[in-house]
Amino acid sequence: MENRPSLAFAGAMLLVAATFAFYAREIPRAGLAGAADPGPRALPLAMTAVIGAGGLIELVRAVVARRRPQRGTPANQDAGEEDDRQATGPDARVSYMNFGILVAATLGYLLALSWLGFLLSTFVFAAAVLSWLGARWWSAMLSSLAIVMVVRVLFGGLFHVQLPRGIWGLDF
Amino acid sequence: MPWLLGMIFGVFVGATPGLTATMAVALIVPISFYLEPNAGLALIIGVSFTAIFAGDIPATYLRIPGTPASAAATLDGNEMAKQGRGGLALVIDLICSCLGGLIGVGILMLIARPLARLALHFSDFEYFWLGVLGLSLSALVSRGSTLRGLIAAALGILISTVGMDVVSGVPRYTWGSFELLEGLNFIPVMIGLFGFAEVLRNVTASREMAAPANQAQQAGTTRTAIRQIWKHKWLVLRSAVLGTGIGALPGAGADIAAWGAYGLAKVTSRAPDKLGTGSYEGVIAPTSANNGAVAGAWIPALVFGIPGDAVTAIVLGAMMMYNITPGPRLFEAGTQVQAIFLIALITQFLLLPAGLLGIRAFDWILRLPRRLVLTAVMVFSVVGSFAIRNSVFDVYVMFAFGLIGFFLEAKKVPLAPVILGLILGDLIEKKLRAGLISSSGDLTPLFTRPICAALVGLLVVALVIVPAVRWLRTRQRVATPSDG
Repeated sequence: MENRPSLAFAGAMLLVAATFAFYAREIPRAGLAGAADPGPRALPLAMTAVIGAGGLIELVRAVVARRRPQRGTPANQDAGEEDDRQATGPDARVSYMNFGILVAATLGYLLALSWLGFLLSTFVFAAAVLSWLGARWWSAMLSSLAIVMVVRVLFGGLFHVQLPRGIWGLDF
Repeated sequence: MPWLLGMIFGVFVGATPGLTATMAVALIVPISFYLEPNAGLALIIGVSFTAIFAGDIPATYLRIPGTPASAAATLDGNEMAKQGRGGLALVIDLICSCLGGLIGVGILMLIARPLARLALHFSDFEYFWLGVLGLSLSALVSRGSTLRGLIAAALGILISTVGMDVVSGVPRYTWGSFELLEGLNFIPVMIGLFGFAEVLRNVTASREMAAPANQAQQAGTTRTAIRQIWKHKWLVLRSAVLGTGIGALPGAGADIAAWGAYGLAKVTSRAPDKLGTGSYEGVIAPTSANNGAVAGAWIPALVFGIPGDAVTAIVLGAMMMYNITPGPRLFEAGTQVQAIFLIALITQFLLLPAGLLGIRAFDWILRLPRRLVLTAVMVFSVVGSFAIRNSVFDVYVMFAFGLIGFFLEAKKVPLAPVILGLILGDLIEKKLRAGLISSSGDLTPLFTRPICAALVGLLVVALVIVPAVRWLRTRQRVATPSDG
């Protein structure tokens, strides 16, 4: 089941290999000790070659698996079909939506971290996520306040980590 | 008393994602200077051992390794937790950590000098092959496709090349970013791959989120744990010895020891398919090895003054402050070394109460609603990533690797080789290039030095045997459809 080839994975690996191989041009070829040193470009290029070759094998396997006639049992379904099957339907839509919401919320939180400061941005983010996950508004507020307090005492008070204060310099 | 308090502090820091054992020791060193030399050393040694165990607690319950050495515990320990046996997994983990530490300290006392001498004879080429062997084993023995394991290892190495080149100082893949010049910090990458990705996986599960299974220790948990450990006593011994040996090699720390022991357990197990699904062997092997490695790291540190890892490097610095100079002369004096050995031995026994306290505290945390735990994990992931270098950039790194980890997991790509590739990439490249420079580009010693040849032989055997065993098993399953 776990060895099913995947077109998406193959594509992603080929893209990674191509991108890193392309930018490897900017790395000087020569090392410190002339011919004795393979140079700083050698390892990145070798790894892009491994990833590219792996992606290519995965791609060929995925294409062959797609063309192979179905044998009838779910265990023999290829990855492309499995991916397609998972990519549709209400469950997948909910899943993608949840993923999108959480990623967007986290990104917003990270962007707000520098200018709102840790306390305010974390409180808003935690309360929003807790409410979204089904907590009542007052429970979400209290819980997020507790999380902020614990983190503030632990990291700020005990370990003296300088948490971002934001443009208003908020720090209790 | 400060000793036990220090160990509780070690549990606390080790169990907090983003705070490493190194950080725990670094934080405790200034406090230790207010104590007598032996009491101060006891405090530091206690923290280093407990922090490594404590890292396994969030690794087991939340799939977030508290320390890099705990990454291997996310496999079977977390699977056991999903099955409601998290308490049992951690009691096994705790006892194995104590046993691993005891065996490690025993070896330290017995063979410190000869082993450290052997490690000193390792040239750059031996270290290169050791790194390649460790990485290949992690890719080969990981669950799922071998090809994807190898791709994952290559991805890890590629990520390790980001930043300033270790040999020539040339920037690679930095795209003009100042932060990328230092390379990607291991901790945010690890928190992203194992922590944030796990939260995403939980939240995107379209079904109603299940309440966490009761992980609290049931009556008889300790008895079951002891029975299982006794049943696998040779695995404990083997893993602890391996862990101590790996820990004794400078640069190869508890993280590599844990993965190495896990790989060895998979190779030697009668039911290797069960590893990764919540098996006792998968918990026993890495946890016996990682504390063994902490003891092992003391071998070159005490005998030759060469730190085996970052923790012992800090401790060596602290010892200098106490006017204790590690090296052969330390052994001539005798009493100080004996005191250190005794401290290390007693620490293993004190680890039991301190560890149980940590487990109990996490049991309580797990009774909280799942949504609260997930939200708290997200916030801790963010703050933990930030705390390493007080850098918001590291938080973005964590976020990016959370997305990468989510994608890779969805495609059944093992994450362990990515992490090990990231750790070992630097070492592999540095050692190979330094070795080639010193041999004027001559590749012959890379294969002809005796230890190199032995390591290459082991690598070839692993590369042939592991896929062959997998292929045979697949054929066996196809031939007997009733199995599938």
